Amino acid sequence: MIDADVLAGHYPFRPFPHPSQDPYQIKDYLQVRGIQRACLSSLHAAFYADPQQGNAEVLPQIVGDAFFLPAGVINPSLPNWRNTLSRCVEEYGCRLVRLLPNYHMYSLADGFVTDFLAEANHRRLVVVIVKRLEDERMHHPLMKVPGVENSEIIALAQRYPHPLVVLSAYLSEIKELAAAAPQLYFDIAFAETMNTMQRLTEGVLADRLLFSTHTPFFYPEAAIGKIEHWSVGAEQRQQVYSGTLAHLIER
Amino acid sequence: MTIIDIHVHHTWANPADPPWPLIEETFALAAQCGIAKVGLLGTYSFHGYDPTPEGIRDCNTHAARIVERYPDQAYSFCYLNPAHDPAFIQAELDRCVGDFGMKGIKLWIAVNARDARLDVVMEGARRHNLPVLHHAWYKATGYIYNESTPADVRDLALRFPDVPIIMAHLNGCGVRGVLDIQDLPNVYIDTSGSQPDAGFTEFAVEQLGADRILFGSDAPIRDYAVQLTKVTGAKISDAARQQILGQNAARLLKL
Repeated sequence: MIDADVLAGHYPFRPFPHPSQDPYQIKDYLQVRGIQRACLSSLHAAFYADPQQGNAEVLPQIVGDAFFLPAGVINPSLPNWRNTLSRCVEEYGCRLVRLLPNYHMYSLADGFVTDFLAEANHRRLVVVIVKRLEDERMHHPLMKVPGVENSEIIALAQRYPHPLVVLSAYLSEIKELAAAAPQLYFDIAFAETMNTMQRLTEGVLADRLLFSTHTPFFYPEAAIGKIEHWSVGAEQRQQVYSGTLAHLIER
Repeated sequence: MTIIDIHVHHTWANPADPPWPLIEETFALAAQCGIAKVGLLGTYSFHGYDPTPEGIRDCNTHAARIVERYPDQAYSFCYLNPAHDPAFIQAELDRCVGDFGMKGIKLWIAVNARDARLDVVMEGARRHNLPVLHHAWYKATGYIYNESTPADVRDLALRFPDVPIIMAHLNGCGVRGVLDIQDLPNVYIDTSGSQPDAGFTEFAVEQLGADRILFGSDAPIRDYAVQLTKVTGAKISDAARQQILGQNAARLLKL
């Protein structure tokens, strides 16, 4: 299993009951649950004015450990984004980079996003768009951050023909996005209905879906349960657990 | 350990055409997850936010037909709308308990929990010795109709301290919701609501005690396998887990 979405750090609005700070405690916690690799990002990078300060807290600790796939956070609205991107790739070995447009207060339609995507594609990086960190209904009343609109992602996909990973989309959002743009990939952490994977794959091919736990926000057993209760063959299950993400990283 | 789900909705869109395959799928998926019995609370959308008396009767009749056909897999709550005529509410409750053996009362968002029109429902619950499962949520965005918050449910519980109330949606009620009911021993909470966010079950066990928490999935909106992990994945004792997953529901609902 490769987990496409794990974060390290404090969350300002509630404590987590399981390891959430030390990458190696998080690693132990996930490994006990059968997860063999994980994409790890700084949670603080969502809140710091310069997300590189969050990257620098977490990513140097995991360089060289094969369990981790470091995922740097970039804010392309900042003038230093090229430097941050270089550090993520050259110092931390990132093959994935994340954008949090609604936490960093820019639109995917902004021109600098196009510049960033050109550079990311040049470096053959997997670009990840984070739609949300938490169900918007549960946000602190003074910090309401809406999810990234599907329309913004679809418009972006129309001018960027390369693979994009969309994290934390709800099931209905995934179905709409999948129908609109064939190069979009999705994690399964926020997708839920009765018999989630069966319903999801009625509209979206399994080779566009990535296993993710959204640890430490969610119990990792939840995402594992979705896949384990899915009535499919081992090949399709493995595709979601690891095959799709491995393909994206190695392309 | 017998796992009992106290928060499931049944879909019955066409009264003339019972959706047995869909209902059987619900039970089969529950069984796959080790859930022995599910509590049917009524349809959540077909009859709207403010169901008519006919809608209420249909909904309860459909639930009763499901339980009659699958008595080992299901039990049901009597769905009521406090906005209706008190005579109708009393008659419908008597029908649901007397004819169908329903185990509790379900209130959703037709009327806010602070409204005096709930009195007839609560008095009915007291008369039949039934718990009332009431929707609640603290939302940063997206309140609908006359939706209640945990503070509203607290107000209701203070007015009827001898009637057991199950406040729905632990993760939606959140930390503040748990604190709202902490000193009210007649109020329980179910684990349904939102994503499998970690930490709320642990907090509720710490603040309320495991004997006031009941497992609820909110299927078919949600996935049994996912919602169970709020209990199975939580950092709590095995004894607490067993209480939440089934023992408390068996005791409170007399199953």
